[in-house]
Amino acid sequence: MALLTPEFFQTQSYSAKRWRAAVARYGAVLPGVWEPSTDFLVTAGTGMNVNITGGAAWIAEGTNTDAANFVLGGMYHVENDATTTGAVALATGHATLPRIDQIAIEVEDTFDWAGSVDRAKYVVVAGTATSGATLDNRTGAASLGTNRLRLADVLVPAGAGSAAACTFRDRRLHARGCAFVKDLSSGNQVVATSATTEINGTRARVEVHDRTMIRFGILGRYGTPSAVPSVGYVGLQYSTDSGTTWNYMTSLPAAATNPWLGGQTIASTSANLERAASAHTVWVPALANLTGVRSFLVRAMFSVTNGTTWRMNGTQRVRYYFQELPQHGYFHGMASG
Amino acid sequence: MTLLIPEFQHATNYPKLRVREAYEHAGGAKTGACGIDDFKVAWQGGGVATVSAGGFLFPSSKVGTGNNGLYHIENGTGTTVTITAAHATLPRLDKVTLRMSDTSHGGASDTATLQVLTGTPTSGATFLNQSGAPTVPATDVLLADSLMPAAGPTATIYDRRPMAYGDTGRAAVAASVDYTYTNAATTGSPSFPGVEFRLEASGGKPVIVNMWARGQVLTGTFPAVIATRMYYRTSAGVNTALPGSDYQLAVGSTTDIAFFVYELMWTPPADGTYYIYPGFWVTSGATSVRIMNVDGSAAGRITIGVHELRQPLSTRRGTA
Repeated sequence: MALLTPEFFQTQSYSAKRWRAAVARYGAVLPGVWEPSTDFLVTAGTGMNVNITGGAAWIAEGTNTDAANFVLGGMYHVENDATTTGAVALATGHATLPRIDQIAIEVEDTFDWAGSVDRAKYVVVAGTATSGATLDNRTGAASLGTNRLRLADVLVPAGAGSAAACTFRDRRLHARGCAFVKDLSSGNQVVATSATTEINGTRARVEVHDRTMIRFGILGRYGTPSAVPSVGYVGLQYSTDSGTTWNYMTSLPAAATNPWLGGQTIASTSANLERAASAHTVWVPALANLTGVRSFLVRAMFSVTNGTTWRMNGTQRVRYYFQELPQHGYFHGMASG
Repeated sequence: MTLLIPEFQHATNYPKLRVREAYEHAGGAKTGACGIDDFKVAWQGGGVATVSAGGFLFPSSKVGTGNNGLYHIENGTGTTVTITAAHATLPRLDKVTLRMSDTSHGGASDTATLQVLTGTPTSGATFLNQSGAPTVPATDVLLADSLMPAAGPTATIYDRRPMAYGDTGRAAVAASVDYTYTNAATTGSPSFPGVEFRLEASGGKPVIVNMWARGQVLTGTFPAVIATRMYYRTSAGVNTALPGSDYQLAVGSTTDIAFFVYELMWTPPADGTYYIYPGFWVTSGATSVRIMNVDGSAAGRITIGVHELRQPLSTRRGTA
């Protein structure tokens, strides 16, 4: 294998494949939709039809359609200027079993890949009807295939005769990375002694690329302990099974012994002596053996020690941000890597 | 409402609009200056302002109807623009812009031109209140505000360039004395002299704000609490708290040191100028608080960092 001719020399001509490879590496984008709040949203239409909003997206070339490590290929740029009503139709439900279908955009390419015409199109990738299939376990879901970007998973219940009877899960990756802010918007939350407690209203589902790096920060406020000294901690957790099992997001592998990210001591029972705990760091899902897992839940947690009772207090109780960086998180920061 | 032919396929020729849109979506860049000195405006004198040479900029995509992709321009040799002579008795706020025109999208020519939009002389006009300032059309990128005082002759230039890859930087105290605040109930004084970051927000992108500070209660009863909150003000001059930025720590004596270290993400409500700064106050027990040296030197008592991101927030990912 030789070094290929670099892009771009004035006297050279380049194939479309080389343009795709170059553009995939020039920018700060990965496969996914451009505007995460609006582009290529899938909703139920009439009958078994689904509607898909317009927008722009990057689709990885080849089989690495939902991964960041599109080493051998490039990316196609796809655009639709308006919503498509009845973009595709789901098959009606199996008589007795649920089924997981996927809605995707596919690029056909007559020169570099099998295709009848140079175009982009919407497709349904039908799964196999299977007992117990859910959006979480995805049992019976088919392989996504080549030159495709997944937009949504669809749970088609047994006997379903309309798209409205199906449940849709947004599976769109974001070309510039997934980012959001989440907070406890109202009310105090009292936590029992030494409990490890989820902060109300902070749970969110994320969709990230394989091997990217997550940057996050959390700031929480608390006070009025029942005994002192009291120590409070904050942290973020993730779950890959929709909330059954949770682990802490830390900048270390999952075996880290101290999962809490920030904490403060409160030394008086005075209601005025509130404290705030904060933390900000990075996390690489691949370091937590999440390679290949791109959809999971996140939530904010706090805990206390020394027999006290906590509450998130004040007008600005707790807030965290989550930012997927459109770049790989590597092992270079680890002594063993 | 059909899917367009994807870029790039071997047998297809693409219009330049498609190439611009593909580049816009490829780089994560937005309309704005590429480098810190690119297309920077400075007052030269004699009624003339200069635009720095050798810079690169992505002009406005909103040429004609809708979004027409990311144009790209280089200012090879530097250019001057003429500022209208001063009004005899009133100050005037003008704007220097780069205007994009494309004959394929309703423009009169295929050009990018520097413009001076002259404002209306108005009593009391300042950069902050923008009184009498002209409206910037969607075809233009705002490079600078020019405040010409009554009778002139020298205008003050305010850099207003959006940055193509996001505005970022830090602000820190560099004064030689400590600052002392007296007990100010619950709201305090929402300012800290010398620590203020001016952000030119553009494209609706979120911003990461972080702070590092060190506090000490000088006098009062103990335990006492030092509280801080981040604020911003816009050109209208209204102080607004950054959501979720409350942070407070208790200290037990005059020798206790409280360290404030936090980071948050915030999205400016609209494009424009924002001054971001911390506020401190004492909530109970104390009569004065000092925000003091971090490392024993005169500088670095308090530092804030601001980083405008390239990626948007998702309104679809904040739910379970």
